[in-house]
Amino acid sequence: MRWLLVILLVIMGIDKAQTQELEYRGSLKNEAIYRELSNKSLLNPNNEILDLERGHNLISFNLFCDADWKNKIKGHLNLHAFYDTQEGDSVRDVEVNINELFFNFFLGERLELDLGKEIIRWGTGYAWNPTGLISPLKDSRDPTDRLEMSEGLEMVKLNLFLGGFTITGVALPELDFPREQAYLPRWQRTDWAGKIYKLVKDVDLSLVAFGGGESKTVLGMSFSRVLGNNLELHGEIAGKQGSENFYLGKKSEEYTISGTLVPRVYEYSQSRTDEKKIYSKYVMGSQYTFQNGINLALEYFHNDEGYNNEEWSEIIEFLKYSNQALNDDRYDLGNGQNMGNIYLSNANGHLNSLTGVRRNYLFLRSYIPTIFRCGNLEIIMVNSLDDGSSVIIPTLSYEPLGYLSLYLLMNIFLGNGESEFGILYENYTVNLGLKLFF
Amino acid sequence: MRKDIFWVTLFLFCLLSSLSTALGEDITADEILERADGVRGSGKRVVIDATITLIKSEKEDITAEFEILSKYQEKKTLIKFLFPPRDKGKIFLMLGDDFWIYLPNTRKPIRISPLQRLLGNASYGDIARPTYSGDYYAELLRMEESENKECFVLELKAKNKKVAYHRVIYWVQKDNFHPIKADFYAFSGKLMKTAFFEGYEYKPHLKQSTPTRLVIFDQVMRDSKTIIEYTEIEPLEIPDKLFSRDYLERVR
Repeated sequence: MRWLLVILLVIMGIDKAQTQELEYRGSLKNEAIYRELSNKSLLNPNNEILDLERGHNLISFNLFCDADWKNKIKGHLNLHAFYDTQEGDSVRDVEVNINELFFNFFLGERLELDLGKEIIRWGTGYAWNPTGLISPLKDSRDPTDRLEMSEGLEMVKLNLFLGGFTITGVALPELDFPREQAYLPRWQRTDWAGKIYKLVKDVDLSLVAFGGGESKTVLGMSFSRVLGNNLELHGEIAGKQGSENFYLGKKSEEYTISGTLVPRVYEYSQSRTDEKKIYSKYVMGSQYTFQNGINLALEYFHNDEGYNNEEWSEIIEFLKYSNQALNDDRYDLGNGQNMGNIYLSNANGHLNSLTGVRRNYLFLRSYIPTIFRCGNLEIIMVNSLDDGSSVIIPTLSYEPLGYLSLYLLMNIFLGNGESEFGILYENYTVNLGLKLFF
Repeated sequence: MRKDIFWVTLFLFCLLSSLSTALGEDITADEILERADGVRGSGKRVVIDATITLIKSEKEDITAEFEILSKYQEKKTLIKFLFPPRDKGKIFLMLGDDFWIYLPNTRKPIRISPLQRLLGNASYGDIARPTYSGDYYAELLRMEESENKECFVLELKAKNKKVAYHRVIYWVQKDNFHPIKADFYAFSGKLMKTAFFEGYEYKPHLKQSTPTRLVIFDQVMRDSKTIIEYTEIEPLEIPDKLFSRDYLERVR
């Protein structure tokens, strides 16, 4: 299907004399990143698991292209190319991705069909979207997708506009999560999704449903509303029966047989899929804008599928055990493999979830426009209420010209060595970027 | 005695009549406001190209360009950001008292308040909501000369708290209902900005003269002003589905 869509787009491009409009925009960015690695990281002790470079450069190019053919068919392309110096040092290490490529067919005044690879973002939450089940996984530390890495899903989508209602039906032949996120606990297969939206008085109201295939049916709703001049309120909730999250289980204890040590066996599994209990996720939030343009946002997020204190303690025990095994010959499995290494490599995928692995979070954002001439300041904090650990992200932007942005941002991880943000690889990062828009 | 009372009454009646004629009480304040809104384009379905320039300390600072699709009478306005390249792809939607901004990076519309700024001193309400009769009650204060023109001076008071400014003093030219000037006050009573309506041009397809430039002076940061210029105004039939929060991501 992808090649067919590319050919169609090329044909439209060649036939652009008949297209009413061909629009494009994009950016070229260079970001230099420095990491101060954490000595106490249980996930990456002494940088032995991930072998991260302290400093690296990320160069990325993003192109959005829209073609309109006689207002009957529209084509949309989002191309993303990037080169990360820590991945390699030749042109062959440049990665090119088609994040989106889809066509929109006008089937009448009230009906439109989308066919292709498309990014859908449902929900009203800023840092979390429980109803965004067919959206790219969102990093609550980067709500505006600064890195532009989000990739779409291949789908057939029908939109019906009827009497103030927008009714959307989506068929997903295949659910393909973006590359780095394949092992995250939210992995599931969804065949279909539906949404009904209406502005009811002054409230945005959406009802959503997802399901099919191997996944559980999820029902959800979202709302948003503005009160007065300054205050915006929003919220989302989604729920299903049983959990598809991966939970850690200790299968056996360590023992010695004939002088050979047999390590503990741990396993991540979806052990609660058959439970009758309803697992829900919800977010409640608000934004307040002052007369001088300063904007404050606050959100609370709860995830029933996140690890409680007891489950988290078991995970910490597992990580400590894996750390202990890492440089101990008794845990070698042959072929240069070590049990600790295998366990920690696996754990990195599960425990560095973009959306958080615990149950209760707080998000705070303050945005100060024109803190100085052409300069803006944004400060984000994501706090795990379960263990008090946080990440703080201040970003200073300087935009002297309409096509240029310079920025300096930091990620500062706070928390003891057994907390969610404390087990991560870095104490802090510093990112210095230059972005050109066209 | 009765004769004296009669003549005094007649005299007072004539005096009051002449005063009310001078003040234009044969036209109400609300009617003046509606006529002024009509000059600014209410009741029309139009597409407008607009440029906003922010000037600080007499130096041109930032310029932005927009395409505005509007059904003013139905209070529906869509603003597409065209320039600078950094803002390209953003879309603003107004439906009555409800506002959204679509940011291409987040890929979804976010509810915003009318106070959030478009550029400089121009709020979204300034460019999306050029008419006041739907949001304000009008009272005629006096007649006054402004910019060498005889004007009605209206006091506008917000009908609800969702309106960006609590109070507006509005100068409307008497002979043709052209808006001339407006002072905007916050709920605190503080004067926030002053706008001048300029560049009146006759538009054949609108069959009237309409202002093509709005100059806004910041009364808090005195060295800055914002100029909104409407470079092209054309009538256009716009499908209703475009004015929907859920349609914003496909408006390209």
